[in-house]
Amino acid sequence: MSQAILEMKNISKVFETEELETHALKGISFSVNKGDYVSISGPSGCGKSTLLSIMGLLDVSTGGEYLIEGINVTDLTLDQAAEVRNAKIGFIFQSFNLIDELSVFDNVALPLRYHSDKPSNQVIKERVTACLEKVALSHRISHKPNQLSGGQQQRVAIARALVAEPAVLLVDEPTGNLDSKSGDLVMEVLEKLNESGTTICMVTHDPRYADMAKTKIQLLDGTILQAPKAKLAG
Amino acid sequence: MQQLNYLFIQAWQNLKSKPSFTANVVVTLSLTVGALICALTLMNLMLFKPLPYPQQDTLFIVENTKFNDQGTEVSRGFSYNGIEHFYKHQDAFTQAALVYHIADVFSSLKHQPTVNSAYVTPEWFELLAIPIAKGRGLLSSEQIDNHNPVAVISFDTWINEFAQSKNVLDKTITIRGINYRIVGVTAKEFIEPEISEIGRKTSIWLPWDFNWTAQMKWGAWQNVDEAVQLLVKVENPESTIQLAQQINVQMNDIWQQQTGDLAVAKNWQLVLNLKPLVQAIFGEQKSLVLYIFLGCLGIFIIATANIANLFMSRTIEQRRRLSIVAAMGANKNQITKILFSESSLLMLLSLPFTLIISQLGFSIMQQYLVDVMPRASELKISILSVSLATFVLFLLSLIFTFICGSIIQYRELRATLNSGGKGTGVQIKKKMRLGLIVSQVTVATVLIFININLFKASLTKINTPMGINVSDAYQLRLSPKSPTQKSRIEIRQEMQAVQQTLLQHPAIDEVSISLSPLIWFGSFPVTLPSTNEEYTTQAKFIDESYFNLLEQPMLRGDNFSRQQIKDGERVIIINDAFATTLKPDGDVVGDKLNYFGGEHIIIGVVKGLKSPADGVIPLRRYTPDKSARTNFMIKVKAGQQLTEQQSLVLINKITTQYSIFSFKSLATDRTRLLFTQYTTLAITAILTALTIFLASIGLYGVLSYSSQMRRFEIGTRMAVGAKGKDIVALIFKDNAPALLAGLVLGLIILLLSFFGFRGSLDQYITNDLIPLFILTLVVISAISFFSCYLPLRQYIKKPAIHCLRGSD
Repeated sequence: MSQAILEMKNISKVFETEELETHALKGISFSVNKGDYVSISGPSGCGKSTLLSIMGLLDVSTGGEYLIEGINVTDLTLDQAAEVRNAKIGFIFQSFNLIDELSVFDNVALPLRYHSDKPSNQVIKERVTACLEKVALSHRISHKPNQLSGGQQQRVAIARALVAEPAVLLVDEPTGNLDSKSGDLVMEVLEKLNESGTTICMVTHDPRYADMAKTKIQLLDGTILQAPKAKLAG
Repeated sequence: MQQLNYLFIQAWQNLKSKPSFTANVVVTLSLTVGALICALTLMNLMLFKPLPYPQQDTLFIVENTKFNDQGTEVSRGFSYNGIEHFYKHQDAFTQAALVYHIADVFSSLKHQPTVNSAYVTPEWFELLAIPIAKGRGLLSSEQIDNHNPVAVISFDTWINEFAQSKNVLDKTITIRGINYRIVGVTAKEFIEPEISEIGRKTSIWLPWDFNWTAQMKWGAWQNVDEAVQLLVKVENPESTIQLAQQINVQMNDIWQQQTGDLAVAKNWQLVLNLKPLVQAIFGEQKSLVLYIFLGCLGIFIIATANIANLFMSRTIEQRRRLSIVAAMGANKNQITKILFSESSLLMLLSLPFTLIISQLGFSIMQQYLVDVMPRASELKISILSVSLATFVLFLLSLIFTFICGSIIQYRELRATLNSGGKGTGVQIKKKMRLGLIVSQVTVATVLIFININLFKASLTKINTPMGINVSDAYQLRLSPKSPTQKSRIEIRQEMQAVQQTLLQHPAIDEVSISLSPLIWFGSFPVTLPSTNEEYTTQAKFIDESYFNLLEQPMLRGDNFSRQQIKDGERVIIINDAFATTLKPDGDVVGDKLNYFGGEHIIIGVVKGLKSPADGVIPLRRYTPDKSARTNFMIKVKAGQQLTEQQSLVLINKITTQYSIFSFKSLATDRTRLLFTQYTTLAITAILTALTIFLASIGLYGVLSYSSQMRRFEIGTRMAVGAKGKDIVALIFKDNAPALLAGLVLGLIILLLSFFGFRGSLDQYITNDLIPLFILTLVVISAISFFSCYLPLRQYIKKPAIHCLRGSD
């Protein structure tokens, strides 16, 4: 039996303003197993990114229960959530979110700087180099992000997501800001990573890339429209 | 012109839609520029504007200093006989006027007010060209030795005491039993030279002959009479050194002739000096004005940096509007005009409020600082203040336009519309942000350090124990309603009867027939017979109850007995400062001192009294008072009160020949003496609070903008695992160099001031400077920390997604 890395049980998210209550997610339940490659797709405003933010502990749900590697992380404090995020989750953003003032090396090393184990500089150097080699960018280690192409920047972001050896990579529209050639290259890297055992959960609205996933989840108006029965929790 | 109108209308419409920004700028500018205009006007009045007297640069006050044969200064000030003799015989000056400042009771008026009086020779009116509203000033018919009892009253006295009576010149006024015929009223616009006391307003001018010293026949050659002053007019202000030399020779000859038989004065020398009237009026107060100006300037700089920051944020906010204008074809110059129209309109709006604040500042100074700030009564909104305010505000509008213009990248601005309003068309450069941080921290460091220093110096002086207990103690001074024919002994007996009556009152604990130590000590020389060494001491005539009443500890020997007072025995009590000067161990009981031509035995040594006016405890001696003085100190029992009216009722049981000249608590006198310290305390506290407030707002503004610019970076760091404290540490670390640079620059300015003005800063340069600087560092660090931390709260206290929203 596969081991569930992420488990979402009846997750809901409501955005409230003084006049309006928007139900972004309505009782979402599913799990992601080790080695999975899950795509989450759906039309704009269906709650894809909100779901990914909750999965990445960047946001909190309004209701339901969320477990990472069997541990309930629903009600963590901001600092506890940061610690879990650092250790268990690697995040890849649509717009790369690299820090312009830092070199490629320092951008990739960033999660290790906030790691509770406080790894030595030697360890950091080895792991950063290894990750950059995985994305074929070790020759750009001293460059600044603005000296790289969009595709290269996204690969640096992938390396950064990998460097702390997370349990899962959460990927938000990785090709949204890239041309198709660069997009394909990034998807190729992600596929290779999954083949080598990395668990990936990706939000995309591009059906071509969604089809590359082993498991496809489709969202509509905050509910799961389609998901393999075996993967549904509860 | 049409385009200018259009620009201003547009600017007005824009500002109307941003009321908080408009209010913030107008309020901050009005307050700080208003304060600056106040300080500048004050500085102009005290340092540059001529005194309102004809040929004011030819007017001088003659100062007299006595030195003993060792060259040590013995005393400052003229003796009564000396100044009168000099006046009568001098030929060095075009004109000279004697003035004797004192207070008197108008005993002919029903409520018997105590007022400031001045006994003058007629030249006083001529030299100052005193404008007259009614009648005349003093004339040659009131010259010295003519004994013509006439009076000139002030405009305020005419209004307050004579209800602006048209027949005032037919009236008389009685002072100490002498009826003076009122011959004139000074004009409202007359500004009195504040040479004896800042803020003093004379109510009545009387001929010199009737002054207290002359009437009481206290005149002497060797004693300094602090009430007398000599105003002179010189032909040529350049020749004052020669004139001083000439009068020095004359005065020393006279002095030796008159005091030749006094051993104590042998080989003493008088040095006369001509002090310009303007200097005599302002004296040390110039540094106070300079300090106020620098304080206001510092706050103005901080506020300007704050507003520059607001203007830059406003420009960023307007980037879409500006980019549309640029896209429509406006060139850089036209964009600058848009910015200028808004900034100049804001300055125009601030102008009336600035002038109101200035006027308010003048009123506050006239209300509260009139006793420390000469000519404060002349402060008013003038053409100069309006011009200054207009100039400063116009300059600011240019500066703000320049700063805002400098953050606009015109090329990028035109492209902004294509990038959906994002982009770098308008962005505050890092250098500018750092510049704002450095300037604010530098000015705040300097101001806070100086203010804390002055605050502490004032507080120390206020809290310095005097060595006596003035709580529940009052000073009661009587003035005879008419010239008395009674002998000194009879008056003394009458006063002792008053003392006994007062003591029978259940609320009264102790009564001494003495003058408060906070009011007056005479300056008299004494000689130590064994060595013939001379000392100038402060002296007071007291009775046997004086030390008990004030709880002034007797360290050695005994207090005076009632019999010793009654017999006027040649005994003396001195303070410990004098005792240790005479003998290092201070054991001087039984030793003798010579003064008034006789030997006096020291019978006691008391602990020195340090009045708020004393820098160090002066050498003092106390002598039994057997004269006919009419001053009482009264101590009431704890929790009891005594009013002036109650005192009068008690006195009237014995005699009705006296009116109350003054009735004040000693605590009030102490507060009066500490007025400068309390004023400094208030000014420094306000300036420190304002500095901290403005610097906090300014730094918060800059750092808040800086944090806002880094919002996505902060979000990204949080996404990869950074905790709140990591983000705070990061931002603080990034801003630390600028904050540190500001502190270092502030320290350099302080060090330069320290070395540059070492002489005048002597009293403030102590070992306490280091802890005070550390305190300043703590305050600035706290401001910096909170300015870094507070803008971050909105990011680190919420889930990371809040920072990341919109990054795509």
